[in-house]
Amino acid sequence: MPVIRVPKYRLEQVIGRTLTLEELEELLFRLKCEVESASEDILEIELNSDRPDMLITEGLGRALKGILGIEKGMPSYTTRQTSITVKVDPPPTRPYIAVGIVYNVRVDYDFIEELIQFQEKLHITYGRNRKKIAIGFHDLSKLPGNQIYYKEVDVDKVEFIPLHGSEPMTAREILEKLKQGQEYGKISLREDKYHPILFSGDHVIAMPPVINADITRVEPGTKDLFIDVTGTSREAVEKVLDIIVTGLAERGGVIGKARVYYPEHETWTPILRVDKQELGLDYVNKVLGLKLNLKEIIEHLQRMRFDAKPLSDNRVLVEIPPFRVDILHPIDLVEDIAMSIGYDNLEPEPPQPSLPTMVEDKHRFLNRLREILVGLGFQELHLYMLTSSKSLEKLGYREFVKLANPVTEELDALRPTLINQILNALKMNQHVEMPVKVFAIGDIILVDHSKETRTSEQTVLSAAYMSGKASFEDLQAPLYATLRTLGFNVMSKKIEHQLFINGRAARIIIDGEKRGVLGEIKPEILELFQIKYPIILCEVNLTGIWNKRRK
Amino acid sequence: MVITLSEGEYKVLKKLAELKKTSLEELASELGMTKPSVSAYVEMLSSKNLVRVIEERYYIIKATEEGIRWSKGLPEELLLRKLEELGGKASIKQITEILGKNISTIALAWAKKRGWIEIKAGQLFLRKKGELSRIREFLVKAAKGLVLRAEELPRDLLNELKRRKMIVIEEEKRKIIEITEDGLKALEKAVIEVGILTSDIISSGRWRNIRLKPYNVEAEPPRVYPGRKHFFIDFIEEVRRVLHDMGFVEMKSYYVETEFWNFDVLFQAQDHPAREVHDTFHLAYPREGSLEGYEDIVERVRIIHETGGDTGSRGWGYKWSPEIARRLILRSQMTSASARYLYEHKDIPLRAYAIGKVFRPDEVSAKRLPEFYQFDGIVMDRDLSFRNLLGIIKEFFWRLGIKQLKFKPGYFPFTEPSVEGYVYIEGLGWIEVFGAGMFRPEVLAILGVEHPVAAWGMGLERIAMAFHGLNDIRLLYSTDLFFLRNMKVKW
Repeated sequence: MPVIRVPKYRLEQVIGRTLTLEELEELLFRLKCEVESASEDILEIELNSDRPDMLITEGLGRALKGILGIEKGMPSYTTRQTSITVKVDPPPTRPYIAVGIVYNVRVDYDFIEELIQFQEKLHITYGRNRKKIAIGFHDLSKLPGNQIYYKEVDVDKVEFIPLHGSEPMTAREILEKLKQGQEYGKISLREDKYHPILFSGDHVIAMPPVINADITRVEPGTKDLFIDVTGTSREAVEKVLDIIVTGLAERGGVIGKARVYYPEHETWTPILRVDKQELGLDYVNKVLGLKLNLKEIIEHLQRMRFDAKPLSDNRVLVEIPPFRVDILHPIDLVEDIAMSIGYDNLEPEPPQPSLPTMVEDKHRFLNRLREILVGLGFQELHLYMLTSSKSLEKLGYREFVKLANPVTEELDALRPTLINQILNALKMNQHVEMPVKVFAIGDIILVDHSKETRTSEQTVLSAAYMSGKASFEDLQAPLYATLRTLGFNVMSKKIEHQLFINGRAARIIIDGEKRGVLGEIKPEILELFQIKYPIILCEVNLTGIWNKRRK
Repeated sequence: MVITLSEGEYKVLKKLAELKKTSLEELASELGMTKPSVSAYVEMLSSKNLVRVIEERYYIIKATEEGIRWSKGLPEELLLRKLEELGGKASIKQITEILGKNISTIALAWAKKRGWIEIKAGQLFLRKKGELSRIREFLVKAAKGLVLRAEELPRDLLNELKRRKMIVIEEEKRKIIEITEDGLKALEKAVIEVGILTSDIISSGRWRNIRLKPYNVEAEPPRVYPGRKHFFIDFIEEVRRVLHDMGFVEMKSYYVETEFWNFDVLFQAQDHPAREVHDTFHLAYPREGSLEGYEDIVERVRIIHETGGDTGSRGWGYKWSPEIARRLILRSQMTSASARYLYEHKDIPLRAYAIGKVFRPDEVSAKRLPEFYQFDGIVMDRDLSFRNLLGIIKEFFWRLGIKQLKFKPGYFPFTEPSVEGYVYIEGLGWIEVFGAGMFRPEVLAILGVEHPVAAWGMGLERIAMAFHGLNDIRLLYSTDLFFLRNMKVKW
């Protein structure tokens, strides 16, 4: 979840009053935000990803003003049409653009810092790391011309000075040499040759989503901002522009609109779209378990900065401000009402109690099994589900679930056995008092192409005995005792096995079913695992065994 | 005075009373014990004046090869016999021819010395008959090794035999053990002290005549370790018990899931960041699952994702892809189990839960692991409200012993209203442990559910760590037996 740094004084400027840190923490908590670490002057705020409009002080302040009752209902913004036009020749990799102007934003150092933060956080969250949308800020007064062109250009045939650069570079050089080029250069590049470019008159002002040109750089003292948003979804591009311009205009700015010409249609942006939703009184009360009246509901909606008016005795028409992207359904308005009330003011009310249920046979069986093994002096281990494919291959396992994006080589597969993990555990415990008697019970995952998830899950018991001297019976005896105590017949049949010494390996047969193996680990395997003690080990498949004995 | 004897001392003393006087070696072999342990008992007995240890000097006499060779008859005896056969008279030349030069020289010298013969002008004359059986018998004994005290030495023989290199003599000191008068008396009156009370002592009634040796009961005993259940699994079982007490049943769940059940049915858009490689483990093998048999719900997912269908929702406004939905991942949330369960179970009231491992690509650190236990609980009933959800969560924590809760509005793609929950733990303060909410109308429509569903999920590691006072999540997976054996049990 995104975290932003906000100077406290700026937030207070937007709200129009000072607040203590405790008050701010409490209020922000009600708005899904957590103040993570705060100094006197700077707040670090963790937000939820559903409210990109709150990723800047102005947006946070706007919400806080509502919940404090300082300003209610949908904010109104002054707009004007400008003579700026955008001609779009849609680049196939990034076909949509929306532009807007915000006059009178009064840029200083702190504001620039926040602007960059706002841009970055929008890129990461809503923008899907610049894939879905990307944003450029420009100083309006530096725009070389009012005619803007958005089109695809051959990267070897265009050059400009990139933001904070000093020399003109070709677009290809930017893609290859600059950090931004290496990081974002692949997103919209087509056939390794064509890339979207934004021109103002004859001058390049941006190469979305990679970098802006230096020519329109925003600096302290910049008064009016020109904003471009490009992307792969027209709706998202327009929505993000709405969020940005309404946020920037929150402190008295004026929003300027530009005419955007696509080959097939034309439009004014920003759109400042206001959606409408109807909301029923009964619906709200049913979901929340409350008895609110229409007036109360309207009051709460207005505090959450919606416009709301009654349609009838039990219905409200809600107007959703342009900066809200999270209202898909009336249920989303219900949550805002609950937030306005405050979750801590909603009295928890347990539903009708239910009769207790039986713990499933599986768990009752496994718990008995654990008790007996513990009684025999075995220590239970808790192991990872993820394991290393290398150590599995060392033991001769070939087919198992493998991850495409492991975080470490040590944990790059789902375990098809517990044995390699048990051996690793024993390796780590060669210095403790002997004997070492351990067991683990858990699920293993086997590849099974007949299943819808291509895997089947089995529950196994694995146990081991390690000591200066270890004999087969040191583990066989407790295993027999355990299974017989649980009411099973158990037998061993001599086998050959890749893990066990010849003549010291047995198949474990429970109630006539082959269910596992028991044996003494081969010295060559002990050496592979750097273990200096003899080990007797068993693994028994318990899947479904708990269904067998119900007398 | 009553003397106390250990069982070992008693055995030695008793044997000595039989043998009266013996060497340590003999005593040990008679008792069937090792020399050092017998020696230790003897020392203890001697310090109590019950035995006397005398050091004696011994001579060990061994016949040499030469001695063994002559033990059947010495050279001068051979000479005498030959002389008798020749009628008591022979020339030196004759004798030398019969006996050989070496032997005849020795034989002539010794026979002359013993006064058995006389030599005159190259002729031998028998003077007197003699025999050396004493020497021969001595050599026979010495061939096996003879041990003699000084007074037993046949001093007259020794010098001659030594000079003739027929024997070698070595000196040795030996301990001779002898029971004293006190020892004999003690044997009758002593109290026997026994270290271990055996079944034999009890059943034979011998316990009446013995005293049990006191132990050092204040000394530190050797360390032993009980077998133990793993504390984290125990904690999970406790959570399970609480849920069953509250009327929940367990849901089936899958470690490897299709994205469909993990995300799509939960109305999580296909380009949602949580589905990307930074937040979800994708599989290299096997890669693709099957949606066969789920045609109805697949179609509902498509429509509702694309347009919202008739749910009153706007949907996500994109083209939904069944290929993405079929991709296999490691489940990132247990809510996939809830979704599968609700797809198949429609009867109300319904309470169900699943506990299992979920997976996210986080680096291994003190705070996070790429896998952790998650619990997911759902309640479905007619007119179930958000306050009911808060109520059931409150009851759940109450039963786990946590009384203070704080609710914060939250965001999850599949619930609305959503809530994040904090619990207060003594000594730690507020910690965030759960997320909850009412399933979104889009999710309910996808699953074909008609009644409201309240859901809550939580990671179990953080709470277990808080309960056990641990500050490193990796300790929950530690296989270090020193740590596990010494961990205190919570009760």
